[in-house]
Amino acid sequence: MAVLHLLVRTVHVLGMVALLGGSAVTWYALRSGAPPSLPVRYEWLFWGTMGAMLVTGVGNLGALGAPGPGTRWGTVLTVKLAFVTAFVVGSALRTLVVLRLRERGAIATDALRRLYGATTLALLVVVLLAEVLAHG
Amino acid sequence: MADRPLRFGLSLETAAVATFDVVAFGLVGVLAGHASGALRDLLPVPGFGTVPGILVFGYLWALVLLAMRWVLAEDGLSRTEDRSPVRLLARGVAGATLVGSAFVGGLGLVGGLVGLRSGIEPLSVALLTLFGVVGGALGGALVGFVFGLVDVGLARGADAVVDRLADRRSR
Repeated sequence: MAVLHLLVRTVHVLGMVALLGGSAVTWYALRSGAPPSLPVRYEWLFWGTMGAMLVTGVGNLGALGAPGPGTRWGTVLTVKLAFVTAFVVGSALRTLVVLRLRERGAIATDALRRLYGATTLALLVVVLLAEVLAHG
Repeated sequence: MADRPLRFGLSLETAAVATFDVVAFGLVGVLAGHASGALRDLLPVPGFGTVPGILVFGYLWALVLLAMRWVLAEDGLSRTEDRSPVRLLARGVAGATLVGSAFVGGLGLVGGLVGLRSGIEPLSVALLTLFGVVGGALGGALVGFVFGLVDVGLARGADAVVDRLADRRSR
């Protein structure tokens, strides 16, 4: 059972690596003439990974036990869950903007670069919150 | 919908919106459970391990992906401000009703079948499944309506952003 929990945590961490690394690479590539298909590829990666992140995140909570909401750990978890929820809503908007731009054949590299820059920063905040949760 | 090519028979719009709905629904549920303190009593669920949890989530995700493919099959979410969202919302509610029925009814059936080994009557299994189907349909309809509104709102937001970008470029 411990091996299974370790596997779940590993998938969760690797998922975050894919999300953060993918958005940073997309942001950087958009500065230097990335192919137009790159944001669409990232969006496929993003949503596939987000599904895995949810199930492994809940799996982690189940393995470790959820803290009380009034404790310090519980407060950090509340902040992290609220932030991630807002981030997911913003990400859905980002994906739809990417699709609309593609449908219209519009080139908006600056806007896309800002979107992926903001995504990278938001994911860094999630990593910081996760570090506080894991190590205090 | 213009966001071809498809992967696994799904467009990116379908996959993204379906996954967004599942993930946002899950996050709001976990957040509400945690803030109320109920999550501490619920997790870990006795006798319900990691693998069943992953299978249940995968089942829900697959159901929502299939339902969303049907919901968005006509025109997708694009240019929702040019047409009434009522038909799209109605399809969303219908799709979510089916998802709720299949999800809760399916869990009731599997749980009942597992319970047969510990002496649960077959009639009880049938009733459990029936209540799951009906209850899941009601819950699914409500959730489908709320997320239908959210999805249409996001689509309109995206259209507004892209229109603004086009205006800036034309100036």
